[in-house]
Amino acid sequence: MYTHPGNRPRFLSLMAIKFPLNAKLSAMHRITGLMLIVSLLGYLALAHLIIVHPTVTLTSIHDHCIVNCLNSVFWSALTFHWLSGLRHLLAEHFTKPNPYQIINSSKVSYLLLITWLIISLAISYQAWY
Amino acid sequence: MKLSGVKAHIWQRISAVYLLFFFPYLFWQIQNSPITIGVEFSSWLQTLFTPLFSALSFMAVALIITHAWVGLRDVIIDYLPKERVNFWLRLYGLFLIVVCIDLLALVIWIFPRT
Repeated sequence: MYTHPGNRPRFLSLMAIKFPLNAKLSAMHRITGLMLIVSLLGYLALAHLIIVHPTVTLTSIHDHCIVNCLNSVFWSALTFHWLSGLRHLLAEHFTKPNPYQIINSSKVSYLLLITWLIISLAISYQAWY
Repeated sequence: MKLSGVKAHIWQRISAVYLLFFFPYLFWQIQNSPITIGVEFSSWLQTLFTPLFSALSFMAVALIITHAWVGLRDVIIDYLPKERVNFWLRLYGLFLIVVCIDLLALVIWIFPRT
């Protein structure tokens, strides 16, 4: 199993640290990954409910708020995870200074956020209306 | 078994590249199999899971589990205190095994009926 080095510095006052935008995006990548695992559990539970419960059908839950919520959260989290994951892959592939700086620039970070916001709005609109 | 960072990173990248292409395909496939009023769950699944999509999905599930294991494994190792790491790693590994068994049970339960 994993051997912990045991001598890590510990500074847990997160509010006292000023994180750069890329660090926040990296943290969001991890948070959305966790949300995707939770969503997977939600979809598994839903599939079990449809199979086991005689009155629950695909049509009856199709427009249910919990299902709409699950769909919105899953596809929004997936979009963010996909976009920032693509950026991680590009940054690991293009390691020469010029392309690496462009990939990690704040312009690309804002472009990622704006793209994600637009897609998330479209997803929420499709899920709820 | 000793956990290796290099191997984990390589698997994380392989699975990431596959899933990068799979998820847009999943979205497109779902858009092409809309849920109509009165449709049965099993017949909707039959429309959704074409032979090509089934084969690619099987591969995707295996790689999602790999990706999820490495991803949350890194989070656990990075943030948890020393004395709790091994316990949570084992518990998370067990959780993913249960998810795999559950998915397999669902496939065995649903598909003979379609």
